[in-house]
Amino acid sequence: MATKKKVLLKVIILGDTGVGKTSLMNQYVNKKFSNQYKATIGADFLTKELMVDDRVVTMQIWDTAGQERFQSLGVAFYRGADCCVLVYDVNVAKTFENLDSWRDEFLIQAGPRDPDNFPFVVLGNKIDMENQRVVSQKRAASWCQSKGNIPYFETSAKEAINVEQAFQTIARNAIKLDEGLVFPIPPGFQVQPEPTPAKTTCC
Amino acid sequence: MMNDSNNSDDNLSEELNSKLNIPSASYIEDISQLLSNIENGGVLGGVNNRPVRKHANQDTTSPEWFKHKKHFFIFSQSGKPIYSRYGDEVALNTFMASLSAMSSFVESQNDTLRYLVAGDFQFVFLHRPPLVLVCITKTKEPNSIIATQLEYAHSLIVSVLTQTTIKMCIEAKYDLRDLLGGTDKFIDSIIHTVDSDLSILLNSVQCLKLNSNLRNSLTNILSNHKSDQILFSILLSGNKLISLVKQKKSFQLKPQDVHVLMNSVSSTSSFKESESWIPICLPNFNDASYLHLYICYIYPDRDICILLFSAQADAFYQLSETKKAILKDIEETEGLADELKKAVQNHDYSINQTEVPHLLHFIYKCRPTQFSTYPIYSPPYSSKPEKKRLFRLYQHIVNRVNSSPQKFHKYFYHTSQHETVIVAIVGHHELYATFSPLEKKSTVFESFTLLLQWIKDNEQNLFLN
Repeated sequence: MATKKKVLLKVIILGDTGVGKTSLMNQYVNKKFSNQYKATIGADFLTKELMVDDRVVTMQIWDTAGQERFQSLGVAFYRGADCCVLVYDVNVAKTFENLDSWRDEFLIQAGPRDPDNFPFVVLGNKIDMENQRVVSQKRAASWCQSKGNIPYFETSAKEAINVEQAFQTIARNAIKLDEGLVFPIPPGFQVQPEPTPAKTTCC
Repeated sequence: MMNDSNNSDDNLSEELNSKLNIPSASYIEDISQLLSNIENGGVLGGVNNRPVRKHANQDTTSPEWFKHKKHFFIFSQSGKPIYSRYGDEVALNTFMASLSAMSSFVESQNDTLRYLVAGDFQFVFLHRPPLVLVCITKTKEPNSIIATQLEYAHSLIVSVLTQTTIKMCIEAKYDLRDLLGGTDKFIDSIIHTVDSDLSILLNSVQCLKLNSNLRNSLTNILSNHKSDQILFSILLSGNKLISLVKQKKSFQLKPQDVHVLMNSVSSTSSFKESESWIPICLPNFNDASYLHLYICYIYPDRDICILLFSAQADAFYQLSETKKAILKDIEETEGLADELKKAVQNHDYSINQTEVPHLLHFIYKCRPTQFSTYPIYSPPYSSKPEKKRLFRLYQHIVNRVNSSPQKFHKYFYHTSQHETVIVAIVGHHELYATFSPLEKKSTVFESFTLLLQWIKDNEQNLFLN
């Protein structure tokens, strides 16, 4: 019975407080949105199963606290991540400007083997509040391009715009990472030849 | 943690290559062949269709899941699920992520989370990078004893993959479950065993009670067939050791390795049907590499099995010949085979055979050899809950007397509602003897002395010498 290769992806969502990380995740996993703001304490975990081509993929989503005072989970938080999602609010310039430091923070803490090609995805959230927008699509897109062509999505957790597509891309990019790995078989135990065979020993 | 992992795989594999002359193309084929064998039940599994595990469909949304007394979880340090005793590990992935976040939080304060208590449950964490093992239980066992149980589960995984491979896989973000396919039942089984096995509790191996002349004949036969190919020759029946011969005196076979080995052998029914040849790692012997194990049940109806370890991957036919020669010698020694079979059938002994008055039960360990012996449970320990209760009591007492290795208690006297247990840790032995709580102290001491004498008189038959 050949079991189909199972894929489990650890996805980390980072971004300033209040940009809608939890709302995006809730919209994606639970198809729900609430206008009420509740700060995430420490971290929250959600999971979702999806299909990418013919593979069943389980996403383990680590929703983080944007508020600095809750950011105390340490290095293990980032350890072994398969994809990092950077979220900002298109209506608040500062949240966009901070993407750089979120990205750097992640790369330092997670220390991926190939930092230049580590899969990030950027989400510009809250596009439903169009008249308040301060970060243009062009500006965001050019930042993404300058960081090695990070895929960019404009989303609304409230109106479920682009959420599904964004996470599909997140999964697809994360999978690429684990393809083409080769493992050597560990060596056999080496016995040092003994000049004269020892007399029978038993315990 | 991950920082120094860059390129280390490549370096390591190159290094291994040059040492071993493994052609690089053989890597992945070998592993995947091994895997498909495991999945097909060819090497390790007994059946083609893996039976569905009990409680497999439960997760944190099912009320029944919370009712299990003792949960075990294994996940990577990054929080990716590898094993859950109850329920589907993928469905429980966020639960394990939470556990890893808890230990990560403590780690970020330069500390280590070892255990915590929440309501009726105690959480015991064992960090064996890159893996984390957690037991959540309401059985009220001592934390250090549970940590040892987690250690056994970890050893089992290392025995299947080697520590080298585990590290490489996790560093490369490869899903360990792909390599562990079908190992669930071995982990299930060792978790079950560590929760009732008295020899494991004493960090020892139980020997089959056997007439010493008989045992010597068997050991001589094994010794006569020693060769450069064979690191260890072992005869066992179920989880009891009959005889053991080492190629070199310096080779240590730790009780933990022996139990992991016994677990793997006894949980695979197909080993009874033919000669088998498997790679296995003995974690305390060498956790970086595989040994090659020849397994053959010479008397399958009596569970008597011969195990020959080799460092050579191509020694199968040679070891198979060795087995034939050993078997021939056993068969040709007058009465040996019959006596052995008879002994295996009748080796269990009860407290009555010791003729020690008032004694209810005991466990004994010979410290230098790490062999142990104990009688079967007899009344009042007839029902499962009563046996378990005595086992739990022994756990607490073992924990108490050994809690400080430098200053362990030499003598220990415990009396509670159901029993009195007297312990002596003297010189080369540990003896735990159980009596009714109503016995007078003087009676207990008297019986204890008699029991020690009985063990001494029977030492030759109770243990390998």
